[in-house]
Amino acid sequence: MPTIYLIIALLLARSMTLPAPAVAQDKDNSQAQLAPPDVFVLVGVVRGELELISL
Amino acid sequence: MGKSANALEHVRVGQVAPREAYFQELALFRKANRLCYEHTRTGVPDPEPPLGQIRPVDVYAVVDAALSRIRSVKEIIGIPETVEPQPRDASKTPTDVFSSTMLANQQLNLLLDQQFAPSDVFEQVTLAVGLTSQLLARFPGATRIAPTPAYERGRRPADVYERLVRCFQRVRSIATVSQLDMGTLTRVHSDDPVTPSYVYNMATLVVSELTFVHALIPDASAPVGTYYPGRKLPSHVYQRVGILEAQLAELEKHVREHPGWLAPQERAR
Repeated sequence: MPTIYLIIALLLARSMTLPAPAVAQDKDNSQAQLAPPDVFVLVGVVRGELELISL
Repeated sequence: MGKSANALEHVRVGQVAPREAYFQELALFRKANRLCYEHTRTGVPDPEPPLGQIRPVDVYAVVDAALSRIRSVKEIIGIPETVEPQPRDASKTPTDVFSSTMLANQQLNLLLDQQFAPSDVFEQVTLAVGLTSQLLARFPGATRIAPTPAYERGRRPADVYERLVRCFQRVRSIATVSQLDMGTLTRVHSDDPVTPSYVYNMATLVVSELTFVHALIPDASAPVGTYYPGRKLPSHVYQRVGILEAQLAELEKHVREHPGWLAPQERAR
């Protein structure tokens, strides 16, 4: 029985820890490349949303 | 919501750096947060200030936070339509971001039940006074806080705006003498009356430039935090901007005598 608990614990630990850094790193890399044109697009979305609210 | 369309600005800001855009986005976030609070009774703190030099990614994060608040409002008032992002135009600069954000700020202010008021401007000006006091601390013998000018009854937001524009020009002169790059300000004709929201945007711009200069002094003390000052009239704000204007005149005088004041060897003076 203790072996089963150990295997489950290892599997849980693996599922919880392994993918996270890779995803976070991808996100960090793509965000670090953001430039003023990307910010301009997002501000445009904000203005569009405000137009919808103000109607 | 049947609110009127946004108004036009009274100035055009050029040669904008990401830091100046960041502070305009912060103003946008605060207005979005207030709008969200008015509809949902939930508010969130300002985004964490970035460490070191402000980059486009930091500006993006604040816009994204503002957008999240605005979408919460949309959801609660039942607007299912979505906005498609426009195609990315690689020629857009921080100046374009800044100009577009100023319009968004006005648009957003008009949606608020409790629009940005003189007390909000007062808070920003108090922050500017604190930052300038820290800069003046570099010069022994300098008067860090100027005497409070007389209270002038009947001052309007336009008077405060003009005084803040003069403060911006003064900060820019200080930056030029100190060999720092700073945005430019050009007046443009506008038939719209100057509202506290416009004044708030201008105060935010002054704070952004002072924060930039303050950050160049490694051993400077952190500026004193501000708090809601209670209800204020434009005359109160005008009076407080008078303190700032006098401080900046004092700072410019010292900086002209010591243009290398931000260099490490000048620090011990």
